[in-house]
Amino acid sequence: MAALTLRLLDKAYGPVQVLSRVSLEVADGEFLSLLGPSGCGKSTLLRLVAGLDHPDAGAIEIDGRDVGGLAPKARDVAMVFQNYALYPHLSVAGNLALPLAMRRLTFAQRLPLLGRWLPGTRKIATGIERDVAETAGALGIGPLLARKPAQLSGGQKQRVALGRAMVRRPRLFLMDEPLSNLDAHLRTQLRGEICALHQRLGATFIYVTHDQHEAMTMSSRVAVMLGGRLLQVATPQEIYDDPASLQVAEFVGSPRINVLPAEVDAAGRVSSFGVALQVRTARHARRIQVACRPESFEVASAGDSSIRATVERLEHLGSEVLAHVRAPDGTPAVVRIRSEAAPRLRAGDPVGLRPRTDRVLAFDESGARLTLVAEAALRAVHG
Amino acid sequence: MAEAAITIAPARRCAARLDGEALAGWGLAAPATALIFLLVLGPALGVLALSFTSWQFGAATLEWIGLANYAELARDPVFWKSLRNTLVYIGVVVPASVAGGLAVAMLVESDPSLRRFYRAAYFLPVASTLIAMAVVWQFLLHPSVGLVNRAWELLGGSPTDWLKNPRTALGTLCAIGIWQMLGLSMVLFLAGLKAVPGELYDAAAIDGADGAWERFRRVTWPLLGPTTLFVTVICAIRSFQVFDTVHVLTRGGPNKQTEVLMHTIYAEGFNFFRAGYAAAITVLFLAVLLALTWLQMRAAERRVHYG
Repeated sequence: MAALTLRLLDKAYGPVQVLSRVSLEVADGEFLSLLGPSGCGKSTLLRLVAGLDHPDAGAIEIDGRDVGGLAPKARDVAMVFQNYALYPHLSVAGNLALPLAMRRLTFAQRLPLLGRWLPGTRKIATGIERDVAETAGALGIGPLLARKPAQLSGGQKQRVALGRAMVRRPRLFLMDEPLSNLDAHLRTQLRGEICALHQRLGATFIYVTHDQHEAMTMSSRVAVMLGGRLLQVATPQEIYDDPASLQVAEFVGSPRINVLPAEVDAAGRVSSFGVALQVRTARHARRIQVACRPESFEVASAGDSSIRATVERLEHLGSEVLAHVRAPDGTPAVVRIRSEAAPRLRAGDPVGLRPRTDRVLAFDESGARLTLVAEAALRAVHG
Repeated sequence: MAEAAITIAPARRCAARLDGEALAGWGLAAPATALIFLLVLGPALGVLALSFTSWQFGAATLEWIGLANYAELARDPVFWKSLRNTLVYIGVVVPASVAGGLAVAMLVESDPSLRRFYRAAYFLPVASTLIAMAVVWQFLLHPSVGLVNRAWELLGGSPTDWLKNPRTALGTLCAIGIWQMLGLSMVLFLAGLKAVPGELYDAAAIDGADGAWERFRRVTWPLLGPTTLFVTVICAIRSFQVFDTVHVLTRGGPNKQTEVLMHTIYAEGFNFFRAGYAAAITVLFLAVLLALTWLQMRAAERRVHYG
């Protein structure tokens, strides 16, 4: 079991700054996802934690101990790779046994042929075999132990890779997009298995992914990374409802959050397309942006104090309908409507949209979050 | 009846089209097939036939003598010496070139500085004409003014005529053979090393196999297995065919100490004009080459061994 602390990590490859001032605290037993688009530096961060690469500046601590100068094997971490990285010449059993053999046997005992006859080797080898069988049984790959990786399917390979990681019971699991090479069905299945594994082992998991569904469904906390920086570290719900910046709001959520232009008057009242949103902000008299999730609109008939939009296209998803609409200035937006509540909309119809006062978010022109206060709340305070 | 007619008609049309296609196919393959027969299979069969005759090079008549040439071969001490020398040459040059090529490839791959220079330098002997290079070696090995003897003296050795001394002649030719083969072996190993996924070294480091020896033993060597087999066979074939250095530097001497199969064939056929006898050696020579080539093809298949 291990807690991980990263302090102000910097890493550059040549002129490219891959990580800048990354700080992160991961609690013992936590499942933390590093979420970001490809090239955002999340895999590099994982390699720094594993010890496969070294930071230009900053410190990495596991359980309060600086592991900066330690080799990967001394950090007691395990890693699962995107392309499985199984040893192609070894059987499944050989792949699972290697990390144990490297730890439990001495150099002389590992020698081919000769090592077998040294005192103690036999006993340790039996122990290794037992642990390999136990891990294989837990992952349901027991019948595959004699096969070579080339004879396995993608899902089986990934199970073997998981097995190789867990067989020596490390304190910290690092997973680098382990499911991205699998088809959708297997991905869902293995997602559940990895979550169950986390609960059973109680170890700390750090899971790198570019798939927001994986990050949101599996982890206790999500760290959103963009351009080598950590933008927000919070629970999946917080990331979704309360994003720290427009970048995070736009990266998380599908369909993407809708961004509309808005004005703030001298009293701080926010309006968009001339429609008062009944919220106030401290920044007066300037242009800002408001953002609203697809499900956070109230749909009304066009006219009464709502943004007039035109329906361009409807996507029927069964339980809900996604309406692709255009605001008066041409800004596109997506509105999620429950099927039974959907009025009989058709492409070309005008529609009135009201962002829900308690769900609307505001950002300044640089994308930083602005605090909004509902006017109803203000009225209550001021009598 | 009507049904039968319906099923037969398309089949007949199909057969007609196949005939046309087959004809076109044979037509397109004909030039290459003719060349193979003319240049490879024909001469090989000719040599086989010749090996059963007593033909003298340039003679107007020949006599069918059956297996007499082969029987004479079995009794000929020169042939046995030549075979032994060839095997010694292979036994020294192949392991040294394979091990040396692998070592050089790993050194070249480990550090990007001057990589191009080393790659070119080691490959130069492969690309250059060996006859010209053999002349250069002759100068280097010159008993009195050669660089090799000068260096040998500095190291405390007594100078010798490397190519005329019966004890050192074959060893010297082996050294030149290694010098020439190392580059080829290195280039093939470089390609093999490029194909080893870097992720495997990462996985090995995390599993605890992170020293140079363990990295080599757990990842590099097993993943180069198919490449190594291929390189070994290629080097064996080329060593088996060694001729130019022997012909230019020693002509098989002193006292047949450096006589190798290819040179024996040349000497029997073109110095002593015993074409039938030379053909018999050639047949044995071809049989060994064929076996090695078959092994090489198996090696090429083995490249996909790990999937």
